[in-house]
Amino acid sequence: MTNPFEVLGLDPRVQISEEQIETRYLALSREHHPDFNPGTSSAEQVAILQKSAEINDAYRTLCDPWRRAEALIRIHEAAAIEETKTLCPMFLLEAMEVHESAQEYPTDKLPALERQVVAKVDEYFADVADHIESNEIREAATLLHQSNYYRKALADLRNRMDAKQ
Amino acid sequence: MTDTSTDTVEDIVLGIDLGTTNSLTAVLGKGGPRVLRDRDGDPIVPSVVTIMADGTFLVGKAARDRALELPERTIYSIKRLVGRAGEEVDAESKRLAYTIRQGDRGLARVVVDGKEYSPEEISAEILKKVKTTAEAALSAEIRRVVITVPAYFDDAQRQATRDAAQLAGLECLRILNEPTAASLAYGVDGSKDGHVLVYDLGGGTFDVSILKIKDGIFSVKSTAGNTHLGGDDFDNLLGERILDVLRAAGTNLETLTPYACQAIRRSAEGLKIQLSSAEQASLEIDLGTASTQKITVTRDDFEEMITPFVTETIDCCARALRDAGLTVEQMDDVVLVGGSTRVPLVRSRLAEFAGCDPHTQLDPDLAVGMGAAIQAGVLASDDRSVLLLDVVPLCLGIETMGGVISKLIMRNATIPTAVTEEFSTQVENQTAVDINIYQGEREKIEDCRMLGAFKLRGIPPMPAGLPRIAVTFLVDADGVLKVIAKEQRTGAESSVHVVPSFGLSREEVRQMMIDSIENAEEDMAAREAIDLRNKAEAIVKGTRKALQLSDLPPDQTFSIKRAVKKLDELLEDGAETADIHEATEELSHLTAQIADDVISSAVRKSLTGDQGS
Repeated sequence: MTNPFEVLGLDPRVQISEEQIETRYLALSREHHPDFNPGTSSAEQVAILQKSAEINDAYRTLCDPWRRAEALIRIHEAAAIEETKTLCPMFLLEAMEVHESAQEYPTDKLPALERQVVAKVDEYFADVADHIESNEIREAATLLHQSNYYRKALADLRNRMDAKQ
Repeated sequence: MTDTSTDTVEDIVLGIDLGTTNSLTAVLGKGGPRVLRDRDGDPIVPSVVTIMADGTFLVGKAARDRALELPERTIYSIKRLVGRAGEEVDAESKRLAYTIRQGDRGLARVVVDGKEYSPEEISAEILKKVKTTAEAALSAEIRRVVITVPAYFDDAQRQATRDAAQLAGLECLRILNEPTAASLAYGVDGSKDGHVLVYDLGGGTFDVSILKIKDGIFSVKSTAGNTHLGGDDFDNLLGERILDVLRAAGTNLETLTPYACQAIRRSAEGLKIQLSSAEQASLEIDLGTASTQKITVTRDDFEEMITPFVTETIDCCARALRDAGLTVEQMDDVVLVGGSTRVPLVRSRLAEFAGCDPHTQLDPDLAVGMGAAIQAGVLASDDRSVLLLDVVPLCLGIETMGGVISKLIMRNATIPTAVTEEFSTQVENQTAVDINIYQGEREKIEDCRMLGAFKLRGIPPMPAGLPRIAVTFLVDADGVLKVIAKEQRTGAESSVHVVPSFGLSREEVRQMMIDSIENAEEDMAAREAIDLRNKAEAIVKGTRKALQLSDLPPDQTFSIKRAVKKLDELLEDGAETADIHEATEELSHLTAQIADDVISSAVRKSLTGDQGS
């Protein structure tokens, strides 16, 4: 995997402002965009497109705080994400309950549920960031996997709220 | 050609708004974008082509003026057929006065006098007309262009537009999305940094794009739309209304001539235009009998008819905002583009949605062309102050086992974008793999269109599953897909051959280019004749020189000398091109046989200092 922090020339940290990422991204786009680098051979043109694509991809990854955290985990310990996929049965029970309420809650109670789930997701993110800071990469990866269930539930219930409107 | 004129040709890049109904061009001058006009001062070139009985084309106003007289030969709204196939063609066929049918691979073909024309060929005629009009306005030759397309055009439609440019003899430097072009015209002065929603409702297509403008960088956050929704649909509804009235008056609609259908289409458009400023509009139709029929449509009637279409555009706006992760309150401005935004209901519904009055300073008919000129200017110069970062409008994926689409590129990803996937083989010593590429809004196969199939060839024979072929799907800055493949273990470049489901294959484009040269006007034939004469003269001169230098036996040189003499006489006499061609071929054939001998003996002579005479 290419390191998106390296591509954009940014310090590998969880907490970066979107503005900081955008400023680097726009400066690099101005330098590398095919509009300004027409290229003479087709091999050169492909290389220019790939460089530009890499910058776009890195920007997309870093703009999403969760994908940014995942990229950091991979940078610290390449295998951590794959090797922490098995979650404990206690958590899976909890996750199933959240999933069910997102699907089945009466629509008038969805806003209240949304607030709860958002708080939970935010809490997860703070914890993942803390573990990465303290170099506890496997713990961070485990929490990242767990957070997936809450984030999925949040998306589902928001879809239901949109469909209702 | 002198150096200065070469510079001019290289410098000018023409911006072309290739519209469903009308096209226009603009160039970037010192004072900003300038729309080019014809001798009458009109910027509009109608996107209409009449195919005459002798196979020649009339394009633009001349063609539009013949629409009533020659409805079956006058091709309009061709943009709706570009890159289309199958049922889509049948659906369009019903509402057109000219004949279209499904040709090879179900692709749309226009039929006139039993001859088939691809939509690309018709578009190319419009582009040629637009080019000559611009050349007259600029007194300069145009080779390079930027062409705008609806943001929601898929890969096939974009590729078809590039092919049309190639057929017209133009180098298309960029396919530019129309709403993005309009945003350039709107915000290039640098005073409008912020978020904008561009609402573009043209004759045949609808697009909405959400952009962020900052320090001259125009980045598209999301786009949504419908490539088959536009002012034409409003005309059709009014046309239906006219037909209803005629039917009620006892007219047999089956007997309506193409002339009458075309006249109804025109009248419907006239009603629509009246209804933009008046509360009601009416029309008198002469039925050719003693009576005339009066039709009145109020604006309320009209608005009720078009409400479903307008609602769809507003839903698209909501979706684009959601995809961008922004709310309508965060929009600093709403920009209207396209002639159909003159319809009052469109304006009022959009104002209601946005909670503010849309920006209307920009001419909705000219904004796209002006934006194309700005982008053309950027590509023609070293100026880096303006940069567009656009997105791909639809997901791109491949069919994996079991008919499931595996999504590779998400919609609204900034272009260029690339994804590399690894493929392997399933059978021992398999050397080829076929992969189907799909594009669509969602990942379900029925929501997608198959863009084409690509075949990986030249995989080194290995046990099943061992080859690792890295296939890179690369969407370039035009939003067009390129596929590159490499076998990882051996480093062998597998060849990728993409067979498009839509549009023209590379071979067809090449063949059409050849055909167009063969069928071209006399100046082209004359140029070829001159080229041939020059070539023949050079061969005569070269062979004589070589014969002087060589010391071949007389029996070999005799036939060559005879062929040289024959060709020389033909040139002297100003013979037919075909005869010169034949004699040239004959001589080339003879000299090729003994070329080695001639060259080696000539080299020997020059080395020994024996220069003959």
